[in-house]
Amino acid sequence: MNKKVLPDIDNNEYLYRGIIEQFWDYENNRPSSAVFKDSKGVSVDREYDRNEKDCIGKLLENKSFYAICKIKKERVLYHKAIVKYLPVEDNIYHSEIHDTVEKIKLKGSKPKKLRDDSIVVYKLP
Amino acid sequence: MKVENVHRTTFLAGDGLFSSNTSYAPQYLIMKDVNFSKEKDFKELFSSSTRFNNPERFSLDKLHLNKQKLESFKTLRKNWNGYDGEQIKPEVIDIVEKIISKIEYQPQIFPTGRGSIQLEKYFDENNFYEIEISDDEIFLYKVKDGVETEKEISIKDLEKSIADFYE
Repeated sequence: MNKKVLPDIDNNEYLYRGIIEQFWDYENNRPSSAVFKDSKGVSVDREYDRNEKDCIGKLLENKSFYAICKIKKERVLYHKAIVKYLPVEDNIYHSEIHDTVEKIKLKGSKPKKLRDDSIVVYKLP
Repeated sequence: MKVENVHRTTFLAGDGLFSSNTSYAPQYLIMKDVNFSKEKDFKELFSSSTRFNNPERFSLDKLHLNKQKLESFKTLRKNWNGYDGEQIKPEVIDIVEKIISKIEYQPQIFPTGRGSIQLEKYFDENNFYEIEISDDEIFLYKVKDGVETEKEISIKDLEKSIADFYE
Protein backbone atom coordinates (compact mmCIF):
# COMPACT_ATOMS: atom_id res chain seq x y z
CA MET A 1 0.00 0.00 0.00
CA ASN A 2 1.46 3.38 -0.95
CA LYS A 3 1.78 5.87 1.87
CA LYS A 4 0.87 9.40 0.85
CA VAL A 5 3.78 11.77 1.23
CA LEU A 6 3.62 15.49 0.80
CA PRO A 7 6.27 17.55 -0.98
CA ASP A 8 9.08 19.26 0.94
CA ILE A 9 8.11 21.97 3.38
CA ASP A 10 8.07 25.40 1.79
CA ASN A 11 9.95 28.15 3.65
CA ASN A 12 6.74 30.13 3.98
CA GLU A 13 4.86 27.29 5.57
CA TYR A 14 3.91 27.53 9.21
CA LEU A 15 4.69 24.83 11.74
CA TYR A 16 2.25 24.28 14.63
CA ARG A 17 2.99 23.02 18.14
CA GLY A 18 0.67 22.35 21.06
CA ILE A 19 1.43 23.82 24.49
CA ILE A 20 0.15 22.39 27.77
CA GLU A 21 -0.43 24.67 30.72
CA GLN A 22 2.75 23.61 32.54
CA PHE A 23 4.71 25.49 29.87
CA TRP A 24 2.77 28.71 30.19
CA ASP A 25 4.70 31.68 31.61
CA TYR A 26 2.01 33.75 33.30
CA GLU A 27 4.48 36.44 34.34
CA ASN A 28 5.22 37.31 30.74
CA ASN A 29 2.04 35.93 29.14
CA ARG A 30 3.74 33.58 26.72
CA PRO A 31 5.03 30.00 26.58
CA SER A 32 8.38 29.22 28.20
CA SER A 33 11.18 28.27 25.82
CA ALA A 34 11.00 24.90 27.59
CA VAL A 35 8.23 24.08 25.10
CA PHE A 36 10.95 23.72 22.47
CA LYS A 37 13.08 21.32 24.51
CA ASP A 38 12.51 17.68 23.65
CA SER A 39 14.96 14.81 23.39
CA LYS A 40 13.85 13.37 20.06
CA GLY A 41 13.34 16.49 17.97
CA VAL A 42 10.62 19.07 18.51
CA SER A 43 7.51 17.67 16.88
CA VAL A 44 5.40 20.10 14.90
CA ASP A 45 2.58 19.81 12.37
CA ARG A 46 3.28 21.44 9.06
CA GLU A 47 0.61 23.66 7.55
CA TYR A 48 0.81 22.41 3.95
CA ASP A 49 -2.43 23.44 2.20
CA ARG A 50 -4.65 23.65 5.28
CA ASN A 51 -6.17 26.72 6.86
CA GLU A 52 -5.32 27.68 10.42
CA LYS A 53 -8.57 26.45 11.89
CA ASP A 54 -7.92 22.98 10.51
CA CYS A 55 -4.33 23.00 11.78
CA ILE A 56 -5.53 23.90 15.27
CA GLY A 57 -8.40 21.43 15.12
CA LYS A 58 -6.15 18.52 14.24
CA LEU A 59 -3.85 19.22 17.19
CA LEU A 60 -6.78 19.50 19.59
CA GLU A 61 -8.12 16.13 18.43
CA ASN A 62 -5.10 14.50 20.07
CA LYS A 63 -4.88 16.52 23.27
CA SER A 64 -6.66 19.39 25.01
CA PHE A 65 -3.75 21.76 24.69
CA TYR A 66 -3.81 24.95 26.71
CA ALA A 67 -2.40 26.90 23.78
CA ILE A 68 -1.06 26.40 20.27
CA CYS A 69 1.70 28.37 18.61
CA LYS A 70 3.04 28.53 15.08
CA ILE A 71 6.36 29.53 13.56
CA LYS A 72 7.35 29.91 9.93
CA LYS A 73 9.94 27.50 8.59
CA GLU A 74 12.07 30.41 7.33
CA ARG A 75 12.37 31.73 10.90
CA VAL A 76 13.55 28.34 12.09
CA LEU A 77 16.21 28.36 9.38
CA TYR A 78 17.12 31.96 10.26
CA HIS A 79 18.02 30.79 13.75
CA LYS A 80 20.19 28.05 12.25
CA ALA A 81 17.96 25.17 13.23
CA ILE A 82 16.53 22.74 10.67
CA VAL A 83 13.11 21.33 9.86
CA LYS A 84 12.57 17.76 8.73
CA TYR A 85 9.37 16.48 7.19
CA LEU A 86 8.77 13.09 8.87
CA PRO A 87 5.22 11.83 8.26
CA VAL A 88 3.97 9.04 10.51
CA GLU A 89 1.16 6.57 10.11
CA ASP A 90 -1.53 8.65 11.79
CA ASN A 91 -0.19 12.07 10.94
CA ILE A 92 0.82 12.97 7.42
CA TYR A 93 1.77 16.48 8.58
CA HIS A 94 4.24 15.43 11.28
CA SER A 95 7.59 17.20 11.10
CA GLU A 96 10.42 17.91 13.53
CA ILE A 97 12.69 20.80 14.38
CA HIS A 98 16.30 19.79 15.06
CA ASP A 99 19.28 21.81 16.25
CA THR A 100 21.46 21.00 13.22
CA VAL A 101 21.84 18.27 10.63
CA GLU A 102 24.11 16.36 13.06
CA LYS A 103 22.43 17.21 16.37
CA ILE A 104 18.78 16.69 17.27
CA LYS A 105 18.45 18.40 20.68
CA LEU A 106 17.84 22.15 20.62
CA LYS A 107 19.94 23.85 23.25
CA GLY A 108 21.03 27.23 24.57
CA SER A 109 19.73 30.23 22.68
CA LYS A 110 17.79 28.46 19.93
CA PRO A 111 14.71 27.40 21.93
CA LYS A 112 14.36 30.93 23.27
CA LYS A 113 14.72 32.50 19.84
CA LEU A 114 12.19 30.11 18.35
CA ARG A 115 9.80 30.92 21.18
CA ASP A 116 10.29 34.63 20.55
CA ASP A 117 9.43 34.19 16.87
CA SER A 118 6.41 32.01 17.55
CA ILE A 119 2.87 33.32 17.35
CA VAL A 120 0.25 32.03 19.76
CA VAL A 121 -2.81 31.31 17.64
CA TYR A 122 -4.98 29.55 20.19
CA LYS A 123 -5.29 29.78 23.93
CA LEU A 124 -7.89 28.64 26.37
CA PRO A 125 -9.77 31.61 27.82
CA MET B 1 10.80 75.72 64.68
CA LYS B 2 14.12 76.71 66.13
CA VAL B 3 17.08 74.66 65.21
CA GLU B 4 20.01 75.10 67.52
CA ASN B 5 21.94 72.00 66.89
CA VAL B 6 22.08 70.00 63.78
CA HIS B 7 21.02 66.73 65.09
CA ARG B 8 21.51 63.62 63.18
CA THR B 9 18.98 60.99 63.71
CA THR B 10 18.98 57.57 62.32
CA PHE B 11 15.97 55.48 61.61
CA LEU B 12 16.86 51.85 61.61
CA ALA B 13 14.81 50.14 58.97
CA GLY B 14 13.34 46.85 59.90
CA ASP B 15 13.77 47.33 63.61
CA GLY B 16 11.49 50.30 63.95
CA LEU B 17 13.90 51.93 66.31
CA PHE B 18 14.46 55.61 66.37
CA SER B 19 17.77 56.45 67.89
CA SER B 20 19.54 59.70 68.45
CA ASN B 21 22.58 60.93 70.23
CA THR B 22 22.44 61.39 73.94
CA SER B 23 24.24 64.69 74.25
CA TYR B 24 23.08 67.32 76.69
CA ALA B 25 22.39 69.79 73.95
CA PRO B 26 18.75 70.44 73.25
CA GLN B 27 17.44 68.23 70.56
CA TYR B 28 15.16 69.29 67.81
CA LEU B 29 13.82 67.70 64.74
CA ILE B 30 15.49 68.95 61.63
CA MET B 31 12.93 71.08 59.86
CA LYS B 32 14.84 73.49 57.66
CA ASP B 33 18.24 74.74 56.67
CA VAL B 34 19.39 71.22 56.69
CA ASN B 35 22.48 70.77 54.70
CA PHE B 36 22.15 67.57 52.84
CA SER B 37 24.83 68.12 50.29
CA LYS B 38 23.23 65.80 47.85
CA GLU B 39 19.73 64.49 47.59
CA LYS B 40 21.28 61.10 47.14
CA ASP B 41 22.82 61.25 50.60
CA PHE B 42 19.42 62.05 52.06
CA LYS B 43 17.84 59.11 50.33
CA GLU B 44 20.63 56.84 51.41
CA LEU B 45 20.32 58.02 54.98
CA PHE B 46 16.60 57.50 55.22
CA SER B 47 15.85 54.83 52.68
CA SER B 48 15.72 51.30 53.83
CA SER B 49 18.24 48.91 52.48
CA THR B 50 17.10 46.96 49.49
CA ARG B 51 18.21 43.95 51.44
CA PHE B 52 15.21 44.48 53.63
CA ASN B 53 12.73 46.05 51.26
CA ASN B 54 13.21 43.97 48.15
CA PRO B 55 10.13 41.74 48.05
CA GLU B 56 11.83 39.50 45.53
CA ARG B 57 14.57 38.53 47.96
CA PHE B 58 13.93 35.48 50.12
CA SER B 59 10.31 35.44 49.04
CA LEU B 60 8.66 32.64 50.97
CA ASP B 61 5.55 32.86 48.80
CA LYS B 62 7.54 32.25 45.64
CA LEU B 63 9.55 29.48 47.23
CA HIS B 64 6.35 27.81 48.37
CA LEU B 65 4.86 28.11 44.89
CA ASN B 66 7.97 26.62 43.31
CA LYS B 67 7.98 23.74 45.75
CA GLN B 68 4.37 23.03 44.86
CA LYS B 69 5.28 23.04 41.19
CA LEU B 70 8.13 20.61 41.81
CA GLU B 71 5.75 18.36 43.68
CA SER B 72 3.43 18.38 40.65
CA PHE B 73 6.32 17.36 38.36
CA LYS B 74 6.53 14.06 40.26
CA THR B 75 3.13 13.13 38.83
CA LEU B 76 4.04 13.71 35.18
CA ARG B 77 3.79 10.42 33.31
CA LYS B 78 5.16 9.40 29.93
CA ASN B 79 3.71 11.54 27.14
CA TRP B 80 2.55 14.16 29.64
CA ASN B 81 3.05 16.96 27.11
CA GLY B 82 1.34 15.25 24.16
CA TYR B 83 4.72 14.70 22.46
CA ASP B 84 6.18 11.63 24.22
CA GLY B 85 7.44 13.82 27.03
CA GLU B 86 9.73 11.97 29.44
CA GLN B 87 9.08 11.70 33.14
CA ILE B 88 11.20 13.89 35.37
CA LYS B 89 13.48 11.71 37.49
CA PRO B 90 13.20 12.11 41.28
CA GLU B 91 16.95 12.89 41.45
CA VAL B 92 16.48 15.89 39.16
CA ILE B 93 13.57 17.15 41.23
CA ASP B 94 15.64 16.73 44.40
CA ILE B 95 18.55 18.70 42.94
CA VAL B 96 16.24 21.54 41.95
CA GLU B 97 14.55 21.57 45.33
CA LYS B 98 17.90 21.89 47.09
CA ILE B 99 18.86 24.70 44.74
CA ILE B 100 15.70 26.74 45.14
CA SER B 101 15.78 26.30 48.91
CA LYS B 102 19.17 28.00 49.01
CA ILE B 103 19.01 30.81 46.47
CA GLU B 104 17.96 34.32 47.40
CA TYR B 105 15.79 35.10 44.39
CA GLN B 106 13.26 32.59 43.11
CA PRO B 107 13.17 31.97 39.37
CA GLN B 108 10.26 30.55 37.45
CA ILE B 109 10.51 26.80 36.93
CA PHE B 110 9.24 24.64 34.06
CA PRO B 111 9.52 20.97 33.14
CA THR B 112 10.83 20.00 29.70
CA GLY B 113 9.88 17.11 27.47
CA ARG B 114 13.37 15.65 27.83
CA GLY B 115 13.19 15.06 31.57
CA SER B 116 14.97 18.21 32.67
CA ILE B 117 13.78 21.23 34.63
CA GLN B 118 14.33 24.78 33.49
CA LEU B 119 14.91 27.69 35.87
CA GLU B 120 14.39 31.01 34.19
CA LYS B 121 13.91 34.68 34.87
CA TYR B 122 13.26 37.42 32.35
CA PHE B 123 14.02 41.03 33.30
CA ASP B 124 14.15 42.50 29.81
CA GLU B 125 15.50 41.54 26.42
CA ASN B 126 19.07 42.36 27.47
CA ASN B 127 18.89 40.66 30.86
CA PHE B 128 17.53 37.18 31.43
CA TYR B 129 18.71 33.67 32.22
CA GLU B 130 17.61 30.11 31.51
CA ILE B 131 19.25 27.25 33.38
CA GLU B 132 18.40 23.71 32.31
CA ILE B 133 19.02 21.06 34.96
CA SER B 134 19.12 17.40 33.95
CA ASP B 135 20.58 14.36 35.68
CA ASP B 136 23.94 14.73 33.93
CA GLU B 137 24.31 18.42 33.24
CA ILE B 138 23.47 21.97 34.22
CA PHE B 139 23.38 24.23 31.18
CA LEU B 140 23.25 27.99 31.38
CA TYR B 141 22.02 30.35 28.74
CA LYS B 142 22.03 33.97 29.83
CA VAL B 143 22.07 37.46 28.46
CA LYS B 144 23.45 40.03 30.88
CA ASP B 145 23.58 43.66 29.78
CA GLY B 146 23.20 42.43 26.23
CA VAL B 147 26.07 39.95 26.37
CA GLU B 148 25.12 36.38 25.56
CA THR B 149 26.65 33.34 27.29
CA GLU B 150 25.93 29.64 26.77
CA LYS B 151 27.84 27.02 28.76
CA GLU B 152 27.74 24.09 31.11
CA ILE B 153 28.11 25.13 34.75
CA SER B 154 28.41 23.56 38.19
CA ILE B 155 25.88 23.87 41.00
CA LYS B 156 28.31 26.19 42.76
CA ASP B 157 28.34 28.52 39.74
CA LEU B 158 24.56 28.40 39.46
CA GLU B 159 23.90 30.44 42.59
CA LYS B 160 26.34 33.11 41.52
CA SER B 161 24.93 33.17 38.00
CA ILE B 162 21.52 34.04 39.41
CA ALA B 163 22.81 36.44 42.06
CA ASP B 164 24.71 38.41 39.37
CA PHE B 165 21.42 39.73 38.03
CA TYR B 166 20.55 41.35 41.34
CA GLU B 167 23.78 43.17 42.08
